Amino acid sequence: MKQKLSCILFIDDDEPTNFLNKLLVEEMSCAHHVQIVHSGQEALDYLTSSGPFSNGSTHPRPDLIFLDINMPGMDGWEFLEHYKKLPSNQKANIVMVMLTTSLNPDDEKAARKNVDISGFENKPLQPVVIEKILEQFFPQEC
Amino acid sequence: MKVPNDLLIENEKAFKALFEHATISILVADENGHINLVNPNAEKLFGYTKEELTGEPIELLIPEQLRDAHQQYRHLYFKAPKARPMGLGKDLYARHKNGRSFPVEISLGYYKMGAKKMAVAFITDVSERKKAEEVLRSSEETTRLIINSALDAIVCIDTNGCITVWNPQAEKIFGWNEEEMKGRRLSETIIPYQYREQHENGLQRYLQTGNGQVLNKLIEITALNRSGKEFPVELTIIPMRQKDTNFFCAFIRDITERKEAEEKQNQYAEDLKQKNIELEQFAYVASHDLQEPLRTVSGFVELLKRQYKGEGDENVAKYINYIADASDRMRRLVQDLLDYSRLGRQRTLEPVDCNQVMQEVLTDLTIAIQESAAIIHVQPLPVINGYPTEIKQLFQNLISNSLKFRKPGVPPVITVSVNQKTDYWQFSISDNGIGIEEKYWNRIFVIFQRLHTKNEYEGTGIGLAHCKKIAELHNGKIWVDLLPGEGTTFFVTIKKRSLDQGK
Repeated sequence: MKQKLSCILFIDDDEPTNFLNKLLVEEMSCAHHVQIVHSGQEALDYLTSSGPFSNGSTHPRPDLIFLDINMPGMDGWEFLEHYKKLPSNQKANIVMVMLTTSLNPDDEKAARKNVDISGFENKPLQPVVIEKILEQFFPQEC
Repeated sequence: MKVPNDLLIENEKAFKALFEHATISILVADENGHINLVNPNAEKLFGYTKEELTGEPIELLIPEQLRDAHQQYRHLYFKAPKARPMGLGKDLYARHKNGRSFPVEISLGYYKMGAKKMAVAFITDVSERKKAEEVLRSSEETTRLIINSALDAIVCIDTNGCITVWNPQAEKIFGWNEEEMKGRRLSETIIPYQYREQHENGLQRYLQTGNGQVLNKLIEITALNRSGKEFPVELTIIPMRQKDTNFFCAFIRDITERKEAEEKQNQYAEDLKQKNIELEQFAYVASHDLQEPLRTVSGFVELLKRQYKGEGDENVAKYINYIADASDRMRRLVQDLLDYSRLGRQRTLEPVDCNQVMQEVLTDLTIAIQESAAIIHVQPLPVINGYPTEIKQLFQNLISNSLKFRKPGVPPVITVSVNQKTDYWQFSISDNGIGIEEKYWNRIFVIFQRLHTKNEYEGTGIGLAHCKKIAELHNGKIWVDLLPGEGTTFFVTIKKRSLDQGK
């Protein structure tokens, strides 16, 4: 039997979306921990164990990040700018970018060059999409 | 009856008088070239007295470099003397006592006195005429240079419609050269077939009545080139009169490229207009039609809420709330989009008293102002020419932003002022609120872009996009800048119009 992922991190400002996503991966029981954060800043805090996450509580390093692009304040692109500079032991293995609409070709070009982005998926997240990602990037687990 | 001797004396006197008073200079020289007689006019012309000249060689009156040639010429002349009229086209020069050379015309006659052959020279100073000729030649040269180097084709025709002037630029744009075109009729060459009759009739009408509708103004028409291609030109025809001759001069410019550019530009403008209309229509229809299913969703959510009220399953209540919130949010987004697309639809500018508008805004915001204990300073504002509804919305959005994004626990202090510039009014709205990070100064004006989560501050993110569109509707701009101190300052410019009044 394959192993579960230790942690999946969802970065999205929309509460119902987070609720549904969390429900989905919990039902698929493919991760030990599902972490929800509502902004790029909160995600950085989580990854670097600072801010609200600095008080010693356990916060496992995510294997997989689902990143929403369209967020107030620090958006997905800006988050990636900061993420790029993190030491590798604070990064996830895989970052999937989530889109509400199809990608503008210029953004896509820039994103293809971004080594931190493993792929794009459209909202809402579907079970088949998660299965596909797990098969592609985590063949030993699940 | 007089005796012959008396007659001779009378004749002598008469000739003497002629000689003395002739307005032409007369010199008589003998075969050896020595001057025998000089009339007063010649004295005046050469600057010598007759005493100084008598007996001197005629070459004294010739410029030095021409003296040898003259001497030889003189010998030849006396071998076969004959009368020679003036104006043979030779350039002759004489020398004044002061050394100056001047152009002359000379006719020669001769007579015999005993065995001696005498030559008589009648001399006219032609300096003035030569100068005039030179001036004329140089002015003709200037005219020719101008005509030849003109960027316009210059074509002149006589009253028969035949070409008399055809400059190099005309050669260039029509393809015929000057030689081919001179004497040909305009109506058989560059005038397109459909205008030929009109041209001939117009020419005749002008010659008969002096009435020329196409003369002396810039007209756009087409012309034919050598290969028969019709192309657009811009031209002015000026009727001219020289001495007793009428003629017409046309200045013609090939405007093919300009026409094409104009056409392209018009096409672009038309496309753009069409696209804008479509876009407006799209936003309007989309947002309008999106409201319909949304109302259905909201309606049924309300039904569900009522039906499951008080029942134990907390998940159901949660889901229903999510749906209610989301559909409510969507309703607001769609409404905002609809408002945005409607901005500036009623395009009638009218005088707007900004003081009055600001009072209305403050009245509308009374509750928010009281709740936040805000202090608002409004300087005297101008009466501008604008779209009243939009101007009010602009101020309302900016003031309510300042109230909304206040620092927790700090009563907002908002200052509205205006700065009059040459071409525009520059309004500024400053507050002591939470401020905006510089990296977001552009993004805040994009529709539905927000800097804070819904939990922190309410809103869809349309307000500043509205403000931007309103500023642009008034040919102005909106931007944020840092002023000393804290908070945010928005600047809005509104283009001035002639009807605007000072503050």
